[in-house]
Amino acid sequence: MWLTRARRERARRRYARHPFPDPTLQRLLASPWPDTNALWDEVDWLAIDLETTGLDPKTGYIISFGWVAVDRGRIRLDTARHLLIDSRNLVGDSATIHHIRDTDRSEGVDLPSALRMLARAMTDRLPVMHHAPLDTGFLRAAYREQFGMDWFQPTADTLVLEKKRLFQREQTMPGNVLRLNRCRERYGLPETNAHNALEDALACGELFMAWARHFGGDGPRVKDCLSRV
Amino acid sequence: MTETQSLPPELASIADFIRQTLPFNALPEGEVERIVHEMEIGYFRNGHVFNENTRDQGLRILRSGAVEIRSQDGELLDRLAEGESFALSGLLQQEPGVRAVLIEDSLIYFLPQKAYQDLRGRFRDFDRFFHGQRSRRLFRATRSMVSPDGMLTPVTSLMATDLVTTSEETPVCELAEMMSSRRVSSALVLNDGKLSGIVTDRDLRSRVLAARRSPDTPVSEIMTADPVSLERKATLFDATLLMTRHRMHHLPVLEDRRPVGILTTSDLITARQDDPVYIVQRLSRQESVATMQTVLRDIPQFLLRWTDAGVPADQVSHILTAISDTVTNRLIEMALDELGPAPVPFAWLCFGSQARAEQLLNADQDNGLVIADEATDEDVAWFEKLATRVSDWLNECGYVYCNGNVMATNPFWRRRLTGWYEAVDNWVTSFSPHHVMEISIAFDLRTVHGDASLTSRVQSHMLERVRANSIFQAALAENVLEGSPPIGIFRRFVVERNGDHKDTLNLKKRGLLPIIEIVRLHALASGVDRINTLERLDELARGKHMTRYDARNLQDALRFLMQVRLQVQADQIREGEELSNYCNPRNLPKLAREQLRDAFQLVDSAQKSVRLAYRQGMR
Repeated sequence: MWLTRARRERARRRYARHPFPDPTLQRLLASPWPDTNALWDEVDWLAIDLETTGLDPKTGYIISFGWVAVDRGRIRLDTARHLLIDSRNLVGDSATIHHIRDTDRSEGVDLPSALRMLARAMTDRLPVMHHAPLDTGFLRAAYREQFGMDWFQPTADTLVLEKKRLFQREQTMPGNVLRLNRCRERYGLPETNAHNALEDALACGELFMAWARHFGGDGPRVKDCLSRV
Repeated sequence: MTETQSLPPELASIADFIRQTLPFNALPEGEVERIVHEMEIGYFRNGHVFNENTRDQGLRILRSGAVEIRSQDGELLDRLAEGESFALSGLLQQEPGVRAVLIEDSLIYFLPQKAYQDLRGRFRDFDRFFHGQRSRRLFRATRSMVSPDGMLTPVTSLMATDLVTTSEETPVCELAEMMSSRRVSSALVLNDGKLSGIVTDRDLRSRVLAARRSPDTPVSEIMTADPVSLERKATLFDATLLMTRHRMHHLPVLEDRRPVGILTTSDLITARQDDPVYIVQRLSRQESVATMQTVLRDIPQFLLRWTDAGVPADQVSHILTAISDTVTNRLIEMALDELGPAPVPFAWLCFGSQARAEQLLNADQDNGLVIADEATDEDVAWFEKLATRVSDWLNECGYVYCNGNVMATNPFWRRRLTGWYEAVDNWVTSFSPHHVMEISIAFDLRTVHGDASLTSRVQSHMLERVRANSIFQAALAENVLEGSPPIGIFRRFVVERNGDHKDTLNLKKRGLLPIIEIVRLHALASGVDRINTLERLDELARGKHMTRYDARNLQDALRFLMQVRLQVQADQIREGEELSNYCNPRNLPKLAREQLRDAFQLVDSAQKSVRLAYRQGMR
């Protein structure tokens, strides 16, 4: 986490001296480091999921974004967004896996707009993702590519949190046990239709709440949620 | 592109779920999609409590998990599972201190108070659903039925109220003058304010002029004394029935034995449309079993028409019972024509659903005979002939022989009055469980033909004996508790596991009969002499043998179950299927399914109170 924080602080200082030209992005960059001693439901989170082609940001593209806010311990559906990226370069099997058809894409937004909207949603919120490294990798690359901006935010990863919980309880871990739906199952959450960015973001947000409610005591503090990077 | 874009269609999975729950399924298209934006999702652990101090009031829908609603004293009021919802603010108004306790980890969709109230304000059905808890929900369901058709309106709507009244001593000439100046065809004779007789144009003609009596003859000599009359709350249907049966054209309407109006045949003709009365009249005029069968053949079609017209189930049963009564009456008259007049007074009884006026199609015959005590053995043998004749004809008319042989042809059900007394004494002193079930039907009895005073003497004897015998009451109670309503934990229906009726439940056996039996038990134990279940409940509440609240709840549950059964049978008629009491809850609309659950749950709690009330005498 210290690494993220150091990078983030460096970027913050840099952008403080030379404000980022886009005010939306500047607001995100200028937002302060969260109070890590606060309880999880005293702060606001944003559950995010990306659908991408491939696993490598260097060769892959973001096909769609889905996010929803988990503010003070509850999901707010008025904040839910699902953005399909309008790009002619979409190819390969990923589109099939993700049930994205050409008709879906025609109503998409371009990548910079999507990133700006996401930045606005992430301002004063902490991102939550399931298996975060993949998504943060794509996001970081996209922000750098589109705006020349360094994006570093402390992030909660439900996969990591769940893994930690299971590991603490010294369970043997068969494969797939950390898949989103398998995690949800353990908390009595209904099964979701995977591979739609918004539904996955929602599923991740619900899992995050369930994990937190099962944490014990008053619930986890922000520092208990954030991942080391 | 701005942030105020429309809702992502992917929230559709949430909208889909909500749309399948009650009462959101009744909202117009697009409303659910609209409110989804305003909703929040929360996850709470088993044991979490929502109460009056919960910060956000509004509607909570269980996406997964389960919750119990408990009163201030911790009493369990309801248990809700996936897809069900509760609004604490509303519950608190009815039941201060009420709380909702999660009994499983739950994912909850939350609709904030403002949006929730907005929906309630705009959609009546939606509002109704939350207007109280389950019993209220059911209450609403039965009361919102379409108003009955013309023949079921009360006589007061049609009767003439400007009455010509006179005293018994008045000379007929004076009365005749009065009647012609007021242009009426009948006058009521009062004695001390109470009705003592009636005089019609026809009486003046045939009993005065044709009989060459003096114009000064006092009215009392020519009037029809103690005329057949109606109570104020009777329906036009009842009126027509009486007129047809007694072949009269004028019916006084009374309140506390004082006349408040008069109804004539012509009043009724104007009100008559395409209605059940017509069938009853036609039936009463048939001269043979064969022609009667022709009339009866159309009844299923008529039933469809009544149900489509929204005639409530209890009224449909009332009509069908009146039809059975008329058929039975006419057949008895035909038998008497053939066998000659009865040697001694008698009463032809009906038992069970016919007695309670709760019949539906395909009812079998349950009947008996009370014969006046002066009957010789030879006379009693004569009644066997009558019974056989009528019973056979009934069978030909579609009222098939009773499986349990509860028929006047069986000497057990054909006795002299004292024979009935002895039988009743026997029943209540030495009984077996099987026996109790068999004879319990006999406690619902009514005269169809003959001397009603014989029947009422049997009935009062029954009431007296049962009321005094708590052991027998307990035996009846045990019989009542035999069948449990088909509701499992978490309010899931328990359906038949196999056989022809797999996945269905028997509405009659598991719902209607338990209510009828519970009410019968209470009525017998409290000495209530009504037979119709709804009326018994009214009477039980009036006599404070039961709280008005409980009585209403049972009435609502009964009405609702009758309604569903009627609907099921109407569908069966339409599909040309064999009629049965089996219903697959999956085929019901969602709201009806929920109400059915409510009804069964009321049956369940009524059974519990029976267990408490009659426990003492139980083994």
